Amino acid sequence: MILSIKALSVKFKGLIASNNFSMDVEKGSFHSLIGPNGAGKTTVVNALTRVVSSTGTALFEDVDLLKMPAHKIINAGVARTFQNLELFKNLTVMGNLFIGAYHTINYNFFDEIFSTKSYKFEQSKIVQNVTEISEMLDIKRYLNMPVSSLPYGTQKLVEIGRAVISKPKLLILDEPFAGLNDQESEKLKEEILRIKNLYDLTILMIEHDMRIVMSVSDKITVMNFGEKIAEGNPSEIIRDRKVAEAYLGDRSYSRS
Amino acid sequence: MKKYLWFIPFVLVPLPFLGYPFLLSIFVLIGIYTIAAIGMDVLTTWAGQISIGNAAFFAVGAYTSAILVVNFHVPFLIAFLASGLFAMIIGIVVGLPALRVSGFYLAVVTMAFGIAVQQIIGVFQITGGYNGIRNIPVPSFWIFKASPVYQYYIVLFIVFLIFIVLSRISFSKSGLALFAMRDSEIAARAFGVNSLKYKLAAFAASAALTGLAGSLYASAIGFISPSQFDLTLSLDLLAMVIVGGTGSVMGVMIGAAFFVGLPFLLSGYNISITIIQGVALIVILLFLPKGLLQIFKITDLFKKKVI
Ligand SMILES: Nc1ncnc2c1ncn2[C@@H]1O[C@H](COP(=O)(O)OP(=O)(O)OP(=O)(O)O)[C@@H](O)[C@H]1O
Ligand SMILES: [Mg+2]
Repeated sequence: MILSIKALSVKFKGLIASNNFSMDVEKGSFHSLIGPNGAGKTTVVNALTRVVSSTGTALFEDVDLLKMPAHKIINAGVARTFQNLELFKNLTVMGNLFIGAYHTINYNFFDEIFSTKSYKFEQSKIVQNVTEISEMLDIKRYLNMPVSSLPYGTQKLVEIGRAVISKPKLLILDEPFAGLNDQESEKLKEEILRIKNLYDLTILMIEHDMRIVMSVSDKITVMNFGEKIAEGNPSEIIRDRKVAEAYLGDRSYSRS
Repeated sequence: MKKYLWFIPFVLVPLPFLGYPFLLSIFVLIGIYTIAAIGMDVLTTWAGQISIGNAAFFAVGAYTSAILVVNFHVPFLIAFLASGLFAMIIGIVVGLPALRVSGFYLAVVTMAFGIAVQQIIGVFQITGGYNGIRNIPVPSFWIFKASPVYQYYIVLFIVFLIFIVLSRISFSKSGLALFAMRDSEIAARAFGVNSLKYKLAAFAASAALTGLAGSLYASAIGFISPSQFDLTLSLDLLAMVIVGGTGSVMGVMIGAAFFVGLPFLLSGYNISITIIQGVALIVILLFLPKGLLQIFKITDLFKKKVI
């Protein structure tokens, strides 16, 4: 087990977005978190990455993520993407990917100013990493372009690249397939699976596209109204009555 | 090396004007305001913060330097560095509210700070009250004697140093962290950027640069009083960044020239400089959102380059 969430609760002015939520993520697994719109999936991830404050615990390899400041989460080995793209829009793709490696940089301010040996060494190492990842994601030709000038699908790839370059142990993806067409989705699915194998990642993915979820997941956790309503492997979830009920009347069900 | 070439014309500029010390001293002033405006640019364009109180750092620098030189006969170089340091410390204190508020509220907080400092300076004896400090000597360094042309090269040298430092930072860990924090604080923090630290650092750097400019200003003008460091100065510094073009030393220099040089050029005519500058500001905001620099097709230094 790499992540163990216990009794996670998040309240927004009267609304309980996550209610006593618990969930375990197995090391090396592809774990999906699904549920109707507004179920609280993103809220759980925001709590784990300290974007919103919460009660409960979230043990990640024996450290409680919920006791860390947001900027320390990446050092623990947890990287994420954002549902509504959070790119550095005035920077190039290179600049965006560079920040993915930010926490690995050891040189200091004076190294920068005086262009010391260790500065040059680390800079070139990062540029090399960036180039490799961008090649793998097929976005190398955009490296020097402002990220905001790229199509939506490509921007999503940059977000994934930024997370991957940080060399996380746990990669959290918040609806990576939203807004992509079938062809793009299929390509991205292959991409993600390849990255997972290559870097030995554990993946926690929020996603509405059921075909994708069913085909990639080792385990699925279903949320509704801030609570866990079901958990199991894809064939168990497909047959679960509570899950069907939760999705009935929800637009996202008929969409997928 | 290529990126330093644009500095060569500035080395040659004074040569035709050696017989016109008044013109040279205007160039000196443009250089000084360039340094202060870079301080503003670092805070706004780089770090995404706002300040309508930077005149206070300018004042702190000017007074620190003047008091040390006039009252305590401290060598200028030491007074100069002390003004940067002292302004920086105050900058960190002013930056503290920025950790809690942003945008409009931060603008108001910094504005209040600027006005407060101006008032405080007017009260104390050591600052000369509302009369200010007179006869601040022009520094003479080593072989450099006190004359506008030497001042010009000293100021140019400082601008050049700042340019080198900034251009190195801008493609490195700390510069990119600032840009990242500006564009998406949530994402920046998720990737390890301690945004509190960088916000304070941005205020510290902005205040230090503005304080250094203030020190140079005091000795170049030779006379300071609280009224020189009013809200208008804070707004002018902001306007210099907008007019010239954000994110580059060159753009800021154009802005400084526009706000400092133009009044002198037009002083013989019966034209209201405030109206011209106001209209220019509106036109530029509407049609050249990247400032006058856009005309020359030079974009922000951190957009053009690799990173
Ligand atoms: N910062 C916030 N302030 C107030 N309410 C919030 C905030 N973030 C989320 N909520 C509310 O919390 C509930 C859960 O939102 P959340 O974004 O976690 O849902 P989700 O499961 O990710 O939904 P979707 O599939 O639409 O992304 C929603 O009712 C939402 O409006
Ligand atoms: Mg969501």
